[in-house]
Amino acid sequence: MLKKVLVITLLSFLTPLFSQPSLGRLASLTSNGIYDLMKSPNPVLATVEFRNASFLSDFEAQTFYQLLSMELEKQENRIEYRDLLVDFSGGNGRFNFSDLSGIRYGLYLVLLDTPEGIGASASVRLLDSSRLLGLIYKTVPIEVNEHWAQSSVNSGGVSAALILKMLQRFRLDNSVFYVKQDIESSGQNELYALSPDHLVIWQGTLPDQGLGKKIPINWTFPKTPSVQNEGRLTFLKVDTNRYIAISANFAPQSLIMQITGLGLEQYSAYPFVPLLSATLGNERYLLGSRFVPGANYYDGKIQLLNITSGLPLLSESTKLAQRYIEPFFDLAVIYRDQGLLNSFFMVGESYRLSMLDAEWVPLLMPTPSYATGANLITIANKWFLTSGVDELGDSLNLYDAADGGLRFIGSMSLEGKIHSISEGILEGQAGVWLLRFTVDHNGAKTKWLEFWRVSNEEK
Amino acid sequence: MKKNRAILAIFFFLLICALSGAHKIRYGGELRIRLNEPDTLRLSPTSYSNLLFYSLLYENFFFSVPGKEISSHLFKQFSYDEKTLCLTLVLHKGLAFSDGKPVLSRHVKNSLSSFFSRVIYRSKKLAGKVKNIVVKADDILEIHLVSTDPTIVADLTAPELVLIGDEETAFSGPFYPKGWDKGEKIELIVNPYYSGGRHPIDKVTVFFQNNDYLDIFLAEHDFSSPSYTAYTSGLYENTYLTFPSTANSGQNKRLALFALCKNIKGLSGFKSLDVLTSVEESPVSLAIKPLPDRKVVQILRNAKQIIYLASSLVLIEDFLIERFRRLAIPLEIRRISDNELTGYIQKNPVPVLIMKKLFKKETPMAEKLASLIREFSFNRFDEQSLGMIKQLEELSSLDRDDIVVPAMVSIIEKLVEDGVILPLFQQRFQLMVKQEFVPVVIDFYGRILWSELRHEKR
Repeated sequence: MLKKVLVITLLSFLTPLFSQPSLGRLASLTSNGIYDLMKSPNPVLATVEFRNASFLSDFEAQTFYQLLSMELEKQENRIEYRDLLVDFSGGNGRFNFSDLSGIRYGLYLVLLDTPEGIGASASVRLLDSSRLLGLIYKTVPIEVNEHWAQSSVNSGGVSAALILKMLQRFRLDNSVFYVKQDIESSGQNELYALSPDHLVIWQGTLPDQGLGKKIPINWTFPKTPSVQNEGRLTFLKVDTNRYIAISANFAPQSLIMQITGLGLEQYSAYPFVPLLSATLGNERYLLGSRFVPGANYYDGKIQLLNITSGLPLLSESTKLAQRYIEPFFDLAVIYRDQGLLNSFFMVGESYRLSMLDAEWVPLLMPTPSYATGANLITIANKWFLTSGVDELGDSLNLYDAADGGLRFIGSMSLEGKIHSISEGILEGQAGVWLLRFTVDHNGAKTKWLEFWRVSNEEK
Repeated sequence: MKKNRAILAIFFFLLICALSGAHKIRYGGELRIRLNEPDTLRLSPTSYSNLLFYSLLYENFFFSVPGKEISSHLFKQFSYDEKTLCLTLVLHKGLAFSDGKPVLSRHVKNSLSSFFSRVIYRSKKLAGKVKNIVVKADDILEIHLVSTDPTIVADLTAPELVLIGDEETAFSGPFYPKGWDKGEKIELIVNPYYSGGRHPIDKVTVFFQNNDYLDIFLAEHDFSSPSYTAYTSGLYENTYLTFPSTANSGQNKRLALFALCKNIKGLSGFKSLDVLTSVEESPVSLAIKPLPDRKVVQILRNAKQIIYLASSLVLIEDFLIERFRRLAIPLEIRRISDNELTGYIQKNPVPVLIMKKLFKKETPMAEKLASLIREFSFNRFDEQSLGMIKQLEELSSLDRDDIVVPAMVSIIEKLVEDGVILPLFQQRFQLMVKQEFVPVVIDFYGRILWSELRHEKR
């Protein structure tokens, strides 16, 4: 029940009602049909089978299921509805049948394509005898303005190409392995590039407009060298103070530097990589994880550091709260108001993209293994972008995540290999800083920093 | 031409795979290797098998791969100043041994000193060039040379020159030992502090017996298998009969022992050797006619024969015992660790010793002979030996067969006449690697570079 509430909360984020009218109408029609069938003195009903045979993605099908459940629960004077769904993936629902006592009727649901839109077939049977009580079949057309559904049908990259556009491209030193923009830095471009032993900061300029300020980094001992460097720069604002966490897979600790008018001042060192901050309950937390030493992925233990009353100085004996998920390459979140977590997106070490709710409960796994790359990011709390691999090389996969869900829009092939992605703003437009490299026919490697606008509003 | 293009295409594919992108290097998994069991975990690289084994545990100062520049995981700078005759080595910051203790320039100095103390040609050659070694800072070391030598770094690529820590539990290589089941296997696990970057494979098991699930093993040079790719090592290993404590006396006994050992039957992979190095390059074949068994028995039957056997040759022990037993000649075999061989011989009389030596095919013949003189003359290393080595070094720079060949022939004859060394067998190897492991990079010394190896199967 808690899970469903969370999912519904998630779905209702930003808009009072779910923003896919066709699915909402289909759920309502189906619910009314079921209501008409249920004229029993003991109307305890549970969905026991749910298949998606339509073009809808798993997430969209699950959205339909949640909307239908909500509708059925509203009719409590005629139907007592129980939700047994524990997972929906690969077009099929999985249910918890450990306790069916008290449930008299089973609902069998199938989603289907129709020439104009989508349809739902719902049959109600007595659970103990499988006797059919009745069958309904409802269809709805897809409205022209429901772009999400069209792009699901035609995910040939056209939509992604309209939304993703490269605005700037710079050549960087090959040693750079992560770039991050300080978005909150009073509207200025503040771009930080991380190399193994230094940071380069461009303040108010871009890499092609002048030399950046080079700041040496003194990592703590001992290093755990890596074959390929991975890192993270995380900006934190706590009270009125601003910090940057500098992390790398070869460094035993992340360096926490305070950003002052004079530059960066060493503040503390943390035994994990700070990834993001979020409000959980009434407290504000810094969430992070550790790189497996020298490797390119995180160990899957989420460390939670309470920063409600300021960024603490940690000692070796400080114990942190932990939550184990699974080893992962990258993690991103969609927030609700005031920094409250809405949902997590994670790409696991086996390249499986997962979505988790604010309680870390896996909601769905939208892609099979290897369909995504190792990097992912949310942009402007609206878009969700992952690296990917297609037959030509690396690619970008774009999703709409504005309602807390995930709708695939399309993908775009890129030359070269993506190293890292981070959120940014350039010329007032939200987008991503993409660090990638190309290799010429002589084997020479060139590293590129590109800004890609991610918006469906042309400026 | 087409073949070259295909090789180039494969190279770039592997390069791009190695660089990774949206899909990154895969970590985890196990590598199963079949090698001969070493005596000890302390460096003792006396055979090809040992050379491969110790390169899992100890990091070389420098690597030399044909067609590529010399490289190092340990040093971020290595510069030679011709004016001051000084090679400066600067360690990468933050390096540690497998036990988490720091790598300092004094460890580099100690490792060099340990290398110099080995009785091997390469170490003596380098030691002769070095005037002194100065620790300038925790991460900086200066090597001052006797005379100018801009190619000094090439001498530092010797496979026996590795970084050694203070403790026996400190390892500098990509893996470190976790457990050793004697006679069966050694388990190694990934060293998170490895200077070349954490190895993508988490665990290596080195088996000492053949089994059905091997990823890499050594095979005879003509072996083939469909699921493995064969890589020529470019090395061969010779087994010699030597007489460290006796001069050129007891000629009959030496010849009898030679005949006895030479006629050992059934040794798989050991081919009879009638030259000092290899048939292809030797200017002279040694016409030593083995005595008949009847004569051998007459000479040796009256006293128990004590033969010292280098532990890297443990494979031939049973065959040797059987040969003596058939002729009813009393025998005592004393195994001696390859690592302790030199020190033992300096302090104890060792009348008869069977040992092996590893050669790289491309090494000039003169250098091979010089190394044989250096390493097999034991306590008898004298002015005459030094003279021969100097003569060989001069010869190696000449491109005149009419001078070089007769000079080498006379040196070889001298070595054999003096009873320094008698060749018995030769082994040649190729490395069999399961096809899912790429790229296989073989260095100048015929070793697979473990740091480059990846498990491509998802």
